[in-house]
Amino acid sequence: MVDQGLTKSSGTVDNYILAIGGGKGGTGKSLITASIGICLADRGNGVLLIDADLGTANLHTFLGLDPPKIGLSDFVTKKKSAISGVITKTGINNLKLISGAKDMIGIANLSYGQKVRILNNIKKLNYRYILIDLGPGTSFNTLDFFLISHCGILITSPEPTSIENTYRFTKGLLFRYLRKIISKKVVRSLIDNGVRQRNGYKFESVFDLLEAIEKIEPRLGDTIASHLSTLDIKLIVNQVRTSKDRAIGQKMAIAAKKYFGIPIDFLGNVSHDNTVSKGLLQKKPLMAYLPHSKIFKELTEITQKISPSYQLGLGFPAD
Amino acid sequence: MKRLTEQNYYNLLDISLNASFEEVRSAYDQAMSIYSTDSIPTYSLFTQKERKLILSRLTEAYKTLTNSQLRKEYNHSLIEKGELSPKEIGYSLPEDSNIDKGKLQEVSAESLVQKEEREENEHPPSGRSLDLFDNQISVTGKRIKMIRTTKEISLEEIYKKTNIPQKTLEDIEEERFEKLPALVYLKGFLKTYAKILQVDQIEMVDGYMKRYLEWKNTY
Repeated sequence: MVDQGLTKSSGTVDNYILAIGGGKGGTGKSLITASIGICLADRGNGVLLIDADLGTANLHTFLGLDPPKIGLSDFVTKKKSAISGVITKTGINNLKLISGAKDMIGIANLSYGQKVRILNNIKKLNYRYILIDLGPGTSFNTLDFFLISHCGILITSPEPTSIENTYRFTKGLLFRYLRKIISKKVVRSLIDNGVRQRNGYKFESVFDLLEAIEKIEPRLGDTIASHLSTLDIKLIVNQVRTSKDRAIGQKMAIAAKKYFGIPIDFLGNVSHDNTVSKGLLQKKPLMAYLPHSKIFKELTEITQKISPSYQLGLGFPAD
Repeated sequence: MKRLTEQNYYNLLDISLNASFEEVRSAYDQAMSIYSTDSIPTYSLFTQKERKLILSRLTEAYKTLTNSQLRKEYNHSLIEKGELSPKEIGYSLPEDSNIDKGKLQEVSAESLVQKEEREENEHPPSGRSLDLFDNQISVTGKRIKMIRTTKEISLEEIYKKTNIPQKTLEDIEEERFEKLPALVYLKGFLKTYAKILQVDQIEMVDGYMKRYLEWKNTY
């Protein structure tokens, strides 16, 4: 029923794809993607960063690079036929980048075909880890990229608006995922109607939708529940300042599991750190000031938790 | 997957069938903080109405599962509904523990929420002005004075509320370290001072102490 992706890893995997997303701009997705990538590369793993945040691409900035001359848009527009043709060096050992920087009008809206082509080509690459910075928003493209990855990471800040957007993203993910796994036409159209709130369908909550589905297909409820529990989604709370902020992540994970039926692992908090903003202003690459900043320890710990071998209880070797 | 208001008490609290009364209590406390009316972690997930329902159900769950008799009856009702098999209830119920149930006797979801709100107002969350202390290794007297004046609190007011001599407060702000009282008093004053200013007490005490020690080591 389901094409692979976003299900818990059952063994060591090459080309381990991590998608980083979350509803709001400015929560720190690019910073965290770059940081985790650097941490992994530093341990000897081959890492590829992909900036899929077309239109507002920032990843290169965090690496201290000028906007690269080639990027994802060249592959999308078929200027380069192979995705390997748009990979650039970062000046950091083991770390490569596919930049989103070359803006083209309209490039932010990928067609379905373009998206499929990107996804298929990514799967053929040969890196230990591939990190995709999805940028903000809950478009179908963003959600789909999230769903084909082995692990999806949501980034939120402690503000209510950011939390609301995170839940909105999760709801979107749920609906999109259900639509993928359910082949029954009548149920699919129920979901579509619900998402678009047309034909009198309005689902106040996820439970309303599931109740409606159960009415048409009684046994589907259990199937859905078991599929949802196989998703591998993680949460990072960024820009944390107070102890109250620090308590939010764990509680969100619990509430999300209860409300969406999706197990969300809380990976950890990342503190608000002035060093980072200062460094950005001075246009220094992350590596220059990250190791000396407060958040380095937090990010290293988070990176450890992401590594599949760590998840299998094998510790965190050089992978 | 059921709505929170329809999940059985064990699932709602995320506890096992043979959870002890203590475990029920801590699960209940945690759940209350997650679903309370002003809870940030569940912002936008529930309407006020849904929250009230969830909170009162949580209280029901707590009362039922911490009372041996009620719990037994509840378990049997679950068996009758087909939600549990008799085998699963083959354990013996935990003995009534010494949990002070008296305090929670007449509790309703409303009063619990109000109690939380009252507590919040009496002890405002620390760290509201944390952005002023962010990454500051030391906290200067100047900074403390700035926070105080921004909040338009006079030294006299602080003295009236805390009995800390105004002179001492001035000495703290002007960093007249040689005039400050013994450390044990100083730390206490700083802690109280931080409380009045509604800033993180630990940050302020540690931060100012760093300043103090810097001075002490140079002279």
